[in-house]
Amino acid sequence: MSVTAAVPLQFPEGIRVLAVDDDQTCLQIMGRMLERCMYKVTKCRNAEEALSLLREDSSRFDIVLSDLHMPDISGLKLLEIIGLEMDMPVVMMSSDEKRETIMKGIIHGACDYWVKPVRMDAIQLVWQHVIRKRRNGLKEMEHAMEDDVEGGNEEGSRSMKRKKDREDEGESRNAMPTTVKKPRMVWTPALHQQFVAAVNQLGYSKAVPKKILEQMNLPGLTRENVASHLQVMEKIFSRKIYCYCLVKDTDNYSYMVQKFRLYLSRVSEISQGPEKTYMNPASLNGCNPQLNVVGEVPLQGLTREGTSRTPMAFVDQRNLFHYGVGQQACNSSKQAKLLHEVPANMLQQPAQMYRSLDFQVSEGTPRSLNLPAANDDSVYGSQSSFSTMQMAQTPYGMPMLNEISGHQHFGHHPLSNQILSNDIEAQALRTVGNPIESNAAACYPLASPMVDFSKDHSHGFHLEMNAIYGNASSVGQGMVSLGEEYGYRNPENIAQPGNNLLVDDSFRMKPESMPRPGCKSLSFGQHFDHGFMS
Amino acid sequence: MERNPLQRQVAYMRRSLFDQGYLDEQFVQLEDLQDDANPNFVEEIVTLFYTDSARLIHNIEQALESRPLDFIRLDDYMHQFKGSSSSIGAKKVKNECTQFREHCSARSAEGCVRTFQQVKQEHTILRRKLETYFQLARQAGLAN
Repeated sequence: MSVTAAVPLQFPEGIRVLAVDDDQTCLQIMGRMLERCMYKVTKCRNAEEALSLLREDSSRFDIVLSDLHMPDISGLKLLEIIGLEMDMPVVMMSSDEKRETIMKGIIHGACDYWVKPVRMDAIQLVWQHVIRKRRNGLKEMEHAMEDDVEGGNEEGSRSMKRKKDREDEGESRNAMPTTVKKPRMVWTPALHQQFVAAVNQLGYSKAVPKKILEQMNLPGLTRENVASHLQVMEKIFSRKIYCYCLVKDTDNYSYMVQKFRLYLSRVSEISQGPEKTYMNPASLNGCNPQLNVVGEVPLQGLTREGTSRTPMAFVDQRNLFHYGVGQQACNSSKQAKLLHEVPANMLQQPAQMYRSLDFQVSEGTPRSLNLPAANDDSVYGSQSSFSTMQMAQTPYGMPMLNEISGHQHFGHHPLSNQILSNDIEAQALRTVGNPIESNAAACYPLASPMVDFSKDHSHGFHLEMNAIYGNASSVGQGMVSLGEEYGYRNPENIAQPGNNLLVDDSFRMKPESMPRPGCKSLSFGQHFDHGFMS
Repeated sequence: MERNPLQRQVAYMRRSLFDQGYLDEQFVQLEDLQDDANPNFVEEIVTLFYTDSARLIHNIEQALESRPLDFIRLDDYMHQFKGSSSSIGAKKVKNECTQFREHCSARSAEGCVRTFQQVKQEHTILRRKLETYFQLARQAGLAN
């Protein structure tokens, strides 16, 4: 069903509740109470089940009611995960009425805490949380976007003060944005969509505020507006990535950022046009939000924060280079260009990258890259490499990582399931399939990690954006489409065996659902029903 | 309201279950959830409770046999048990659970063992009473 943030007609009837409790008795009672209120109930006996339902399609639910005390994944953990991945209201329940426990629940983000036994009155009023969350979610986003009033990279006391003023204005501002002191820039979803479309048209690497502004072609919009909006998106997103990883697994932070960078790099290649085996970004759909929000979290930044523990994703390096691969992009000028456009090149095992610089994909035999285990050495080891690299600047003032000039890393995909420090990586790896010798085939893998990524992690991202924009489109799907599209559109670069990669079960991609070339790039607000998530 | 003798008996029995503290307000909540579409809801839930709690009781018994006593675990089990019992309005059972947990915090093995016996006892007494009650209610309903 088409998902929107719209409130059902006979609200609160029909709100969709996910009830989680390992106690059968409580679960059944809750279910019955919810039904009595004419809510749509889905019952789960444990957090894993709940999470998988939510991850599959969080737009199916409006609110989650969960018991705190559960085996395996506790209610608190579930709460955290939901808060990061889906930003859905969660009510905690427990027969524990200790103040500390209640405090914990609230601190972890529960929008309410019910002491069991659950009463009908509480159930009847639960819809408030749905409304409240939606309003707050939108407000938060607006707040975050408010930074762009004066535009640009201004941070510091002036904008902070302005922000404070804005917060004070609170409701009134939301109601009448134009009556505030200065003409305020309000990034409505529609406007944002245009912004996103513009970025796609341009291609991420070219999406500088000035160009975006031109592309958007809206009178009254200033470069500053656009620039700060861009920054805001990146900020929101990278903050969420960070938080997400804190909860999930710090190792995943760099993994995920890398996936995004990879994704970005892919898209930017694509924006170059067919002659460079890039795809028209306009035909991409769904990836935009990610593009916008991913932001360039500098690698050093990651490690400095100490959140990056794993070697940069095992995701195979081929991904990085195919664009160049077909063209034997080994010359430094091209490289420089590529580098600019491929901010996220470090992805693969940086250790590998910097140790075996002359590793070429075109050399036959697949090698299982010896992924360093998730130890800090490789990460930090490569740190120094990073620092010796030229740091190009993204349009947004964030450093990009360049390839060590003169070398490109055409890794075979790191087949083996090794050293992957987490399941997702392993999963992505598996989907990568067999070693591919051809350059073209090297292109493929983008699809795999993207797919897996979106299956597992991008949910977080796309949901994040969904939460922000109240839109349930699956950005993750867009990412897949990207991969699919790429694969299908550049047959000359894709070896047959490579093609098969896409057909891997774990992908669940449907060719027929791929975007048609030349179709308008979908904006953020659109739905990407590519069946990816089916 | 005109009631047949059976219905009067059912009402009386219900009343005394509350008066004697076996059941509390939560039981009424369950009754309110019963309707034409779910005519036996209360009985179903109570049955579910007893099936589930049998397992919990078994676990607790086993835990009580190990030495030294794992109070954390016992407290954990009892927390669940308490949650369940309170959800059907089993007042006395719930109270005994609270007692038990206090002994756990106090790390009193003897206290735990003793209280647990009381928990089981209340649990069983309530079951019998409710079984009788439901049976009577069914008969009264049929007789209508």
